[in-house]
Amino acid sequence: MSAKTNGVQHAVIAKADGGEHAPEAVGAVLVCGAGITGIQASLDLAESGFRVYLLDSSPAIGGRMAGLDKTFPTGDCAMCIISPKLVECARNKNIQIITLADVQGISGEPGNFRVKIRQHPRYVDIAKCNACGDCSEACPVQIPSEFDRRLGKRKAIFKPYPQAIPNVFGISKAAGRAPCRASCPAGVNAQGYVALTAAGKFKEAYALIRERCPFPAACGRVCQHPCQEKCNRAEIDEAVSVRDLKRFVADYVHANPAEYPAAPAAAAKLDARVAVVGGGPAGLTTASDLARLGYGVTVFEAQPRLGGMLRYGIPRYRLPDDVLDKEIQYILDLGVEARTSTVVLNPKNLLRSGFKAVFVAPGAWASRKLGIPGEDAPGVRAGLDFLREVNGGERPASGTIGPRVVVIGGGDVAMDAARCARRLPGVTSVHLACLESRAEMPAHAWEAAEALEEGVVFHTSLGPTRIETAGGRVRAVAFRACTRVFDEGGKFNPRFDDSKTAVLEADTVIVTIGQGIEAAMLGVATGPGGRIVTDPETLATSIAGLFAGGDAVLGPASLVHAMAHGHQAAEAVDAYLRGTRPARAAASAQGGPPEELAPNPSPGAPRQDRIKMPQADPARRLRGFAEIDLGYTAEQAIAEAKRCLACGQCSECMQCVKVCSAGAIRHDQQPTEFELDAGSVILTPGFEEFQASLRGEFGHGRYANVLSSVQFERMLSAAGPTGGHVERPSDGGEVKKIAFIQCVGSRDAARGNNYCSSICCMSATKEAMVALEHSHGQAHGQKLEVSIFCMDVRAFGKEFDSYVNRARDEHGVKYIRAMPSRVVEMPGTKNPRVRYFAPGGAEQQEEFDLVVLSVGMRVPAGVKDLAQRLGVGLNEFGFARTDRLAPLATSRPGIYVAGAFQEPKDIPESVAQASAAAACAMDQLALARGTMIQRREYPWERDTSDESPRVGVFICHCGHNIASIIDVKRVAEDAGKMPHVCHAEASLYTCSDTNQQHIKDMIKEHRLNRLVVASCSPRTHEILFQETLRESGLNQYLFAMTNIRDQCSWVHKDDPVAATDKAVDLMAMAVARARHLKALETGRLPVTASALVIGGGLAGMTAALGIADQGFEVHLVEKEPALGGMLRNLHATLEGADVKAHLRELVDRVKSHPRINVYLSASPAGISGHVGNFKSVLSVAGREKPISHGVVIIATGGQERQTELHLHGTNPHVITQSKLEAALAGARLPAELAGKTDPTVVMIQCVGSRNDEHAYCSRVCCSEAVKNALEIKRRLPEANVVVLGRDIRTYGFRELFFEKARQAGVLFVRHPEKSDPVVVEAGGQLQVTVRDSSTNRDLELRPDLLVLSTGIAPADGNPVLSGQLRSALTADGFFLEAHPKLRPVDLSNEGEFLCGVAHSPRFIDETIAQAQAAVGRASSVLSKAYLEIPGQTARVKPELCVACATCVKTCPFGAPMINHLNKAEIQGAKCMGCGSCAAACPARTITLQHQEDQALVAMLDELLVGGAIDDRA
Amino acid sequence: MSYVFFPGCSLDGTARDFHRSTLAVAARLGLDLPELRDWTCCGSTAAHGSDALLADALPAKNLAAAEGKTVAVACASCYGRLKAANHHIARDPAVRARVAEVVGGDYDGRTPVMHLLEILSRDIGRARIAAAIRRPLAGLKVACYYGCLLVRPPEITRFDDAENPTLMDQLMEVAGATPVDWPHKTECCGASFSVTDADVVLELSNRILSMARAAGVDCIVTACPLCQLNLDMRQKDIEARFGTRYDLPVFYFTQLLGLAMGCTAGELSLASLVVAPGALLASKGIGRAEASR
Repeated sequence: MSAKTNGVQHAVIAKADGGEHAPEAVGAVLVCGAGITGIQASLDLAESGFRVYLLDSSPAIGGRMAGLDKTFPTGDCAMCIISPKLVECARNKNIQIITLADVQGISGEPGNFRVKIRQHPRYVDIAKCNACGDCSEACPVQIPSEFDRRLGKRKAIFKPYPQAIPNVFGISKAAGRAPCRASCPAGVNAQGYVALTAAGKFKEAYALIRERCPFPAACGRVCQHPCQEKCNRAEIDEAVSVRDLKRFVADYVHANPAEYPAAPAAAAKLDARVAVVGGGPAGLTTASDLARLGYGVTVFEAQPRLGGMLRYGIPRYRLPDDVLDKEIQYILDLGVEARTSTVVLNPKNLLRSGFKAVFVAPGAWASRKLGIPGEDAPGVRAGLDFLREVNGGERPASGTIGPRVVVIGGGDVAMDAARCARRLPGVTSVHLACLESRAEMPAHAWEAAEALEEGVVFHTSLGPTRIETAGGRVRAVAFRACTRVFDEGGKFNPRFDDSKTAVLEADTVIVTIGQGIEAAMLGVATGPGGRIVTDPETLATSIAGLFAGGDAVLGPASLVHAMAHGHQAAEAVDAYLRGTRPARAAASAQGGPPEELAPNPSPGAPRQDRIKMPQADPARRLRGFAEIDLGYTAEQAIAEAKRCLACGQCSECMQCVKVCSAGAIRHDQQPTEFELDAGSVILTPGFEEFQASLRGEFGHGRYANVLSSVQFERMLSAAGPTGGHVERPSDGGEVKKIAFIQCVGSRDAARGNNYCSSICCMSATKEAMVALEHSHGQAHGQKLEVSIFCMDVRAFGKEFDSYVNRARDEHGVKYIRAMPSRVVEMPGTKNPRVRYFAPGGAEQQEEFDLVVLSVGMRVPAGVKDLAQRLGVGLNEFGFARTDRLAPLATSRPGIYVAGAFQEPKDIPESVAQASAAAACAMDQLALARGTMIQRREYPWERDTSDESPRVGVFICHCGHNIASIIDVKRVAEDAGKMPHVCHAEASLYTCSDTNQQHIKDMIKEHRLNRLVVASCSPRTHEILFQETLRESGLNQYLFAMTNIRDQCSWVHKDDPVAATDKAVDLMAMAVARARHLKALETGRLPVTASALVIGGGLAGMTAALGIADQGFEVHLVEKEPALGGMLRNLHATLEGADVKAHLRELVDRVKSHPRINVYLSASPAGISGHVGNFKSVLSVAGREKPISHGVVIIATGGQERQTELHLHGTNPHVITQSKLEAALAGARLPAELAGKTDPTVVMIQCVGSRNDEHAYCSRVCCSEAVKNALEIKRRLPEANVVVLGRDIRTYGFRELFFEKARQAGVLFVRHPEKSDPVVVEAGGQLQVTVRDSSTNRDLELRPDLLVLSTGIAPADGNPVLSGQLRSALTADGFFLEAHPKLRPVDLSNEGEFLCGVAHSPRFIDETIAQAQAAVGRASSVLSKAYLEIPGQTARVKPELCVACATCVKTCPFGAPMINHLNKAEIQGAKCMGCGSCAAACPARTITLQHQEDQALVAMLDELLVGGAIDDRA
Repeated sequence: MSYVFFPGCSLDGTARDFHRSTLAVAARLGLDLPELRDWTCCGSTAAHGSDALLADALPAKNLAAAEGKTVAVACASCYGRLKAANHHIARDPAVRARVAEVVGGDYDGRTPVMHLLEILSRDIGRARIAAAIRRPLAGLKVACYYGCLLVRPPEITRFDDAENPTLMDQLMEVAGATPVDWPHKTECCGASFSVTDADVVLELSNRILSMARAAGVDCIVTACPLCQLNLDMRQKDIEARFGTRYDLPVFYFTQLLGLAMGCTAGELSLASLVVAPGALLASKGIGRAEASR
């Protein structure tokens, strides 16, 4: 038979190019969900000629597997095995990774869908980010890491984990803004400066504050801090002391002028001059802003000093003069001119005298009067006048105030006046009287409290009626009771009770009942209360060019409101002078929604009390006007700032923008929407863990030492929050005893999770084993004790039982059959104590150091909505609704499902389903294959064989990663001096797009023929540079890369000089190697587009049909005279699907398929060749038939195990489950049951399984028993059905039938390990004795029918076939896959695949999925016209070969053979380039190309003798 | 919101101190708690253990009489009973019909039922309570003990967090005391086994007392007459049986709140506590002013 190369791909392209009729199907597939399942499906599709859109809602691909430490049962490092897959995805030109995205909707039909995608902003430009990590280093925000399940912290700009793909950073921002930030009227970024303070970056914090606050030190003292009022921390304990932190930062920087931020680059000086009338906070803010914009500003102030209310209204003990002076000086330093003691009577004159605009902010300095008799007497003072006098520096003359002072009023000014009075010499008592009750007093609570502390006496609910005088001087104040201050409408409307009066004796009365505004004289329009009327957005007054703000417009307000007005005025004046509208006005005119506040990100976080600002002793305070609040120390400030919950996540402090040399940060990114065309869709959204705190009785989230299994997994990870150290979260202490509680959120009807999550038993066992491994070095020498509380041990997978046995028997892991009822935390030790009922029924309590809750799987939030948008049906638990006979098809044609979203499952089953879903997705699109893939065209390769080496060296800074430690310039200079180096340079990011172009230019300019890059890891970046070489017309093998980051700058941070020396050595070695590199050819092998499928059961027929439907030829070989295999013994699935009908349909389709050749009573007699080109001989009914094929699929199935145990074969009433199923499928019941109402049927599980002889579990028998038991109960409800076993392993949704069987009255009796039931026959009656674990007693049963679950044995022919294929079997006799996790249907030899029971015992749906997976994997070979053989392969020099066959024995891939000339020959298609043969060859006649001895020797010479030998040569 | 108060048999009998202190606290807060007219037993224990219909009908009779007002309850057992009846009647038309038949009138199962703790925390609010505090219980470490009847079954009572309730803790904090987070807030004390099998109570209540002691508290605060009775009245027996000494006063939360609000020992019936709290209160300086009066 002649080899037929694949023509499919080319035919389709011809059709498309020919333009006759474009194929309707779209040659692209959308994969939703980029966990390991989505990744595998994408790789298979891309390898088979389809474009793939791989979409995920998270910032990186990798899903849940990337968070695992190890995998069971092999103990592989999860990251080590998934990371290459991630990189493969990133490198594959035909996989477009779309992160942070969701599917919004879908239209169209199978083969041609249109999908609408919404992508959320990453705030980092993927094209520019080089992942140097400088941004993350600079970011001050520390928030709990979701990846570490809140056990560790991450930055707001982050990569979830170091190996994340796409290898770029991203910023996380909360849905709303941090409440502190959103509530600051002046727009000061509170979260930002608190975060910077926490990080000890005081200078940066100060600069951030100053962007919106020209008075950091004053504001840090007197602000009413609306930021703190909204602080989410108040829900937990107390708001963060935001204001005090601001004060600390300001004082710190003011005390260390070197830390003062460099003035922002002066804006271009503008000609226009602006006048500001009023040197208070509003005016000075405007002046400061305008000066920064480049305007010349002059401030006119009536008082002798600037500061307004800050200076003259606020007492010095709250705001010292020197603090204010310093702030004002900084403003003046911006170039602001000040004219103090200058009263401006008519601002219009300023406009006339050349100022282009005038901003007036005269404040509110008038004091309201009481309007009662005696008010005008000497000794009665207006509050503000009094304060102005006290604060102005000239204290009132001795004797003019007091000795007895009465203050009238209950506001902040009253408190200030009273407290100032207390400090004046000669004052003996200060009483304060107000209308309001204590609770209604308008003063801030802390002001009142401090006044009380200082001895001010309060008299509340009193209204003054008269000021009594004697001798022209004040003597007393008379009051009447005030019964209410505000009316029902909340309006000020006091009522009095004249019958109740009081008198307070006084020498001085200070009236502080409100402030007024005297602005009328300015000539502008005024409104109620004398306030200046302005446009609320532009602050323009009735006079053009004249703007107004501050208290004179707002009425008496606070500093922060004055600053807010000042900013607004500056924007308005600037806009006015430029002839535009202020941005703020434009924004508010659009009427945007009010800003949303970010919710508390850590409700229930542990209490952590506020660090109180130290205060001066109240007794000492009264001696003068020294400041009361003493300020934080740096340590206190950092500790207080660390209480911040970072509600907004990113604080937008812009530190990342400042340090990103690549200019990649984009804080203004917005969500985008776009559409894609896809022929099929695969849903792989995976799962999320059950929220452990919902099982409140276990105390997760309440007790520190109770973790979820996902958290524990992170704790075990070397890259995790504790670096892999197992410790008690409460105190970091050593862990000596761990308990695992299984089924938390699984098999739990109360919480609607009735199903089994399938993986937790094994994953707990694995975590136990890893924890044991980690505890080997424990100081106390005592071995870690692990107990696993579980209902059943469901170790049903391949090699799982051996793993559990090892854990139990060799490592002492205890499996306790109990569901604990409660965990409590012991006071003091914080040890979790577990309460449970031990086997036998006694209540037990046991203390542990750590309790791990094995949380189950559930469908991720949001997937329900996604399914609805896609029109995909879900089952009652929210998983995709699928059929056991078509496990990958959703309810909507053209949309497929794989992985945990289909049913809870582990990694290999998910990966198998991924390949299967890929096969299903391709099935519809066979005609469109290859139409949307990118093929790269390269220029002709330049022949460099005659050229002497011309090496170009590029040294990478990698941002700061390398350059901050290593002197890259020196490395480049040294490189330039090396022989054959024609060009050497250092660049910021060698991998950036611009640098790739630059490298190409340099290759051209210097006619380079070797390239050396010293940068990061070849694992991620080598292929990029190789591409650049190819695009420049050079062979990709003329490239050497050396890693001066991971193994140099990162590990020698403390010794930059030595690190640089080492980098020079590494670079020199790479250059030495480069000189010896040779161009290598990559080979091409044509592919025979047909498959050999061995086994004609369910797996083989499904695989054959899948491959044939893709357009490839199939040879299907079955040893029996009929197709069907074990499927012929089955009648229905547990769910009731008709297996018989499915079998008939399969056989019909296989027999009638034009591309399937069926060989019955046949078997392979010999198989030779390699991937793409196998040559085999079949023995068909005794005759030999040669065939050619490109791939082999093993589907040899298995058989029901035969037994003589339990009287099987001697007593006719003892039968196997398959016999029972056959009997129950008929119309008549088995004779033992027929005609009886309540016969007894006993089933014994694991007969001949899970014992010393056959350790493995046959996986299907528990469900088979449940199925048959339910059928018996359906037909004979009174029948007694008793199932005896050690565990019932009805995993996944099969658990529902276990539950159903119990509800139907089937009894399940658990017996202990090694205590099998005993069956005897006594007087013609069967008698079964079994030990019941729950009561620890023996039960005796007398069944009418005894049914044995004997399990599945591997096919008899496996050993022979294994020899023909040189493919190993497991100890149990099943085929051994290439990798138990990630290559479940591949054999270790390329081009050979397996599926069905040949792999291990499995159910129908699992067999179908594996068969389709084999189709998907095989398609990636068959769909190619040629296979590429990489250049790095071994070569034999035949002259020296003595055909000793050492290489043949050494090679793990079967690549070497002894050819017809009796010489070794390496089959390129099989060679993996590992070099084992080259190392083993005794005649040293094998070389591994690209890794030749000369190059290695040259490198060593370079290192050891500085290249001297090489130079001489 | 307006309420009618359902005292139930226990507050009329063994738990008169609970009754008195409840009314004293309500008065201080200006909370009007008129007693439900012609109330009858809620059916707790006896009826609900023997006759499902009676167990729903007795509460229904009382709840119907509330005429739509919110029924305020102090006894945890009554609370659970009334809530359960509402649950059954509102969900099952057959139950509703049978109850209507025996009670002699249709009741829809929708009269709101609130425990005093819920009323104080949700309706009155911390601010109003804080304003009524006169003598904060400074330095008093308390274990708030909710028992099982308030919180279980959670789908029926819907009281706070069923595993870690905090309403009482919050009130104690407002009152100036220091509530500790301890793990036996909702353990069973043995409840009415006190009558039929006291050994069960001794065993279970001992666990609660010993855990409270381990948590280092000065006293226990309860919201259920049965819990209070078992922990307080049986404390001597427990000490004798287990050879230990607790000497932990067991208050109703209303008693401690009342003390903080300045009520007298007489108003709060402190004298009826079996484990006398005098020494403890004196050592903390609580209620001294009253004592001297």
